[in-house]
Amino acid sequence: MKLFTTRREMEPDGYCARDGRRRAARSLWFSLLLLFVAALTSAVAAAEDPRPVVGVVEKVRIHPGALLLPAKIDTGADNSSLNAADVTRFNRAGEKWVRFDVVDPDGHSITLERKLVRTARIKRQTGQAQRRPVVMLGICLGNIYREVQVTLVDRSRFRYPVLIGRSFMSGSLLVDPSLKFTVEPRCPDTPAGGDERE
Amino acid sequence: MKSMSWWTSVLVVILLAPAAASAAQKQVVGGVEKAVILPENIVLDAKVDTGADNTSLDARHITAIDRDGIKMLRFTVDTRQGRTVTIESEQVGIEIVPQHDGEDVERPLIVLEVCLGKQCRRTLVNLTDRSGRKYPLLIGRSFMLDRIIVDPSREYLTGHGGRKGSEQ
Repeated sequence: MKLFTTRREMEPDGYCARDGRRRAARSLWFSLLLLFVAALTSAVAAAEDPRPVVGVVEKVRIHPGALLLPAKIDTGADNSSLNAADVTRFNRAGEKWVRFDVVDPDGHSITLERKLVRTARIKRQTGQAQRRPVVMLGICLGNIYREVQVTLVDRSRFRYPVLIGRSFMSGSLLVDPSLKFTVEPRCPDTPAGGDERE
Repeated sequence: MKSMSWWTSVLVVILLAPAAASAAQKQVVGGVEKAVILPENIVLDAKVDTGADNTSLDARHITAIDRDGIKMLRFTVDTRQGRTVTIESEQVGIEIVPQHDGEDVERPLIVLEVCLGKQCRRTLVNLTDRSGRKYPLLIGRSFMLDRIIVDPSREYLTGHGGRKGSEQ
């Protein structure tokens, strides 16, 4: 592919000096352009991967309730967990349910009632393992919506009320730990309404 | 002579492009990888943990010793391949790790040279007892910096072997 004309090769030698400067300028621009393209295409090793890259902290929406909460994206966690207060177990139609409060950063609180899926044993550094209730909740991160098992815990001492674990990520996204708040939750598939909340 | 500058510019790009590319290049690793501690060349299965501030190492028999006024920690690392390695390293601080039940745990901090894939660097490591856990090593964010992207659905993307030497 010829990118430059070869007209100058037919000109008399007497005009070399000026053409030499133009030639140098053009080849410099071309070098910079190729350099830019090279850097861009290899800028992120995951460039060929179509999956989205999210940061280590992202805003998510929890459903039902559509509460907007900041979440830590934790590749070291198997499952997701949510800071819940006033956790109460009760029976409904012969099945085990859990009622709990979730508070967003503005202090807006909602009460949810969900069926108990199972009880999880939380690993602890010292002492006995804690047993915490696990419920199904919908989570929207970026444009990915999933219903996953979420462990209800006391995360009041931690900076972020939500922890997103590997079971949510399950092959759909990559995590760049140097980034934060790179996406807004925008999921087209979220269920409408919340008959599970007061 | 007249076509020389065209080739010169191509040569310049070929020589400089790797430098420009590697300046911005990030390595994609899986949720579990083999990592190497240098210079002892200890190869360990490591969980790549974006939820951890620092790297965490399973260390036993931790004792404090004084070497010319410098506080050193001596501890052993089980390679989980029949070998136990004793390491002495200066304590540089204490990491406070909050727990769910309201009681923080304190872990001594040292600096070790750790390699993950093509990247080797000296990094903060906290020492803890991970005998009940699957992985003896946790790679934290202070190692990953802005040089690593994690694909938690895959494992051992950087291979199964150790890597000697440093290549940043």
